[in-house]
Amino acid sequence: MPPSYNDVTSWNPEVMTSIANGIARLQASLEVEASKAGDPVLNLTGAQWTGLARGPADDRAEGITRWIRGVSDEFGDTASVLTRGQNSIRGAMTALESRTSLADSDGYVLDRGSREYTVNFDPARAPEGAEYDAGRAYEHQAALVALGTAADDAVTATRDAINSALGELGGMTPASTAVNRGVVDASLAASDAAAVRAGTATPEQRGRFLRAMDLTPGQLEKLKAGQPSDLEPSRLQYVLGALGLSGMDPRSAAVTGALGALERRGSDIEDAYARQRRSVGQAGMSADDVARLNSVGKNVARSAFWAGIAYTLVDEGLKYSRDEQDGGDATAAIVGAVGGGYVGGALAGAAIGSFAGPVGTAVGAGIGAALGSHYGASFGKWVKGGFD
Amino acid sequence: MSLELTSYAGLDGTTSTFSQLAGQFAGASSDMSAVAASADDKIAASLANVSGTVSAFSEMVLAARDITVESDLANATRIEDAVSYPARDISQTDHVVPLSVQLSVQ
Repeated sequence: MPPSYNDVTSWNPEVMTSIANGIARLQASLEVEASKAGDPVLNLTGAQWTGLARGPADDRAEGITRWIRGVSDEFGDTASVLTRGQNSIRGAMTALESRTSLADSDGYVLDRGSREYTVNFDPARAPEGAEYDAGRAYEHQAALVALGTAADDAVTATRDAINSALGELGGMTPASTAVNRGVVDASLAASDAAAVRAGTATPEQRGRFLRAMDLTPGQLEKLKAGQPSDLEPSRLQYVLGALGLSGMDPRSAAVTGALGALERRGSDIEDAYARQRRSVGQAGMSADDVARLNSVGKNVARSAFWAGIAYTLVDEGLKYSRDEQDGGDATAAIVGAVGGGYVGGALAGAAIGSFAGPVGTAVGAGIGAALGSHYGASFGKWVKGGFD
Repeated sequence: MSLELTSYAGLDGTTSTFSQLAGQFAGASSDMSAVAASADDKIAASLANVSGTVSAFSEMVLAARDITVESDLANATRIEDAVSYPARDISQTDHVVPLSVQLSVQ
């Protein structure tokens, strides 16, 4: 049964236009940033990088730029699906409204709340001298039911189109392409960890630290048991370095014990964040703070998160919400997290309140986190510069 | 700074997210509640994956630079063998982004 006239006329498809505007911004951001992903490699002169690996690296750089443009097109698809949906739903609503007026002026008044689209004859509104005609009534009613059904179908079709566009977007941006290759410079581990703990880490340091330390529960289990793990050797060294255990045998009791203790601390934090009321009472946090903590707490739970990192991220977010830190720094901090490939969405979403915020920074973040430190300050400045 | 992204460029209400679709289509057979509940997450996940992919790319490529002759060939092979990026499965469509939007995100 179709929705009633009152239902249909209460719809607000214009929301989709405003979502489409946001999506178009994402599309534009990605389009603009696409070349920034590959160019740092492509722009190196032959003298700056010689060797066999240069050719494949250039190909890969072109590939990633082309791919980001493709992702941008997917966002474009989504935006146009939304715009088209708004058009077709609004059109169907208008058609029903004008047909209803037409029936009204003929004396056949639609019951606005009826899902059967009952029409009642009202001689007072009918043309001079007109009388009730069952055939005429049926004609009006059938036309109105059809238009009500068409409006309903327009919504369903739009819903399906949105789902399909989002599905394609998901297919275009699988998590697997974002999997860390695992190669990090292990010698930076100790300084990164110290900076993160002290809250002075640059976005590059934070991003590198988070990426390297984001072990899956399975990996952590293996490390704890002292078993050879699927970790890239350089990454294992980074993890050990960050824990102040560099140079030690990963199978030794000191290392496995330390890893076990860390995991324990991670789950303690998770527990603490899961208890809302107590958190409020004990730490004097506002409801917003708690909500933000909880969202991070979920990440803690999901990926066997690490204590220090959770504290750092949450602290940045809270400082931002208390105006103790200007937006630029907070955003840059979040950006580092986005570079890490997780949490960023949650925290950035919490801090900024919409996906329009973290969006323009997603690509820059990844580049900044990984490239900034290597290509010197200029690239890092570009990332930071975006928020100043 | 980025927090202003939502307000300039002459776009009204770009802060709207899919969650705002909830309740806008009362009475319809499919009232968009499922889309409203999940679409924002999908967008966020997609962006996070873009970001992570760029990181992965940079790391892989950077690790291959400034290395010894011995590992050069291995690195070249490793990059060549890396799984290629997904491609759009339909023909390229040209979605024109309004100039004002394009300029505002530069």
